[in-house]
Amino acid sequence: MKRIFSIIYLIDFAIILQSCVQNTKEQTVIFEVDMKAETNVKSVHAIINVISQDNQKLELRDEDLDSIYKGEIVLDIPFGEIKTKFVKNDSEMELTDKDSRVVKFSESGKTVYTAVFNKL
Amino acid sequence: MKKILKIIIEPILQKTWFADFILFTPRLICGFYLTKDFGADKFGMPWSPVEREMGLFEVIYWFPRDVEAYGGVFAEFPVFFAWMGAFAEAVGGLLLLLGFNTRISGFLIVCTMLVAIFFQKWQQVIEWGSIWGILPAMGFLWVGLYAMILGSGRFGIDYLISKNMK
Repeated sequence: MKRIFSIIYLIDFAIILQSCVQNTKEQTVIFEVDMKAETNVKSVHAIINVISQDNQKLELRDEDLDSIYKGEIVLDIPFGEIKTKFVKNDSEMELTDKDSRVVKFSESGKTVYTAVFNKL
Repeated sequence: MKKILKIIIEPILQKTWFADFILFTPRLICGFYLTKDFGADKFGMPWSPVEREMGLFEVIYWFPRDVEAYGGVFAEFPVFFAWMGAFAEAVGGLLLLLGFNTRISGFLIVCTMLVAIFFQKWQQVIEWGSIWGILPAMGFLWVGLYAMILGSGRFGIDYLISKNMK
């Protein structure tokens, strides 16, 4: 009997622990950056800032050669937004001396964020 | 029961108050920073950063994933070990600071720091060829070790409890 109670306590403890981790929601974020006003573009990256984590760097590509650079990232986080800035040619950071862009997530789990480089 | 409680609570006192005070200082500082920064950043405490959106006693979402990456038994029970590790830092740090259940909190902190050194930071030691990466964890480890052996000394709630137990 004592053993059964011990097992029940252990199961309860495990359940409590399972519920003690922040809940996350998977979110697909698609970035589309208009680079038409820029010259000599060799590469474009999104620097993604999620609260309490190191910045992530996402490469954006212009596969249909329309100067709109696109990239996709899947995040599994508890927050409803992320911050981002775009970088041209690995060295030219946009919006210097300005706050980062705030990307608010949509309820659907898929967010498309469109922007023009260096313009808010 | 009282005997066990006495072993856990009753501190080993130094010859003078000053010696106890010297030993109390690093315990106070380490406890403070463990609970305020290292612990509260990943474990929901009333003073955790609001923007992290953690509920009370809730572990931040990425910590079990980190713990799972250590492999072995940590990969089997990542939530348990993440919760215990974060609890040891946030609540254990507070207890260390107050000198309440000092030996238990010291033990929890020692276990957590040993895991941090050998499973989280050891790769850095190999890559960098130096121990700089494990220096903070080693600092907390030493304080946890002596707290585990000596208890709170004269500066802690354990001392007041043990005086009343006599």
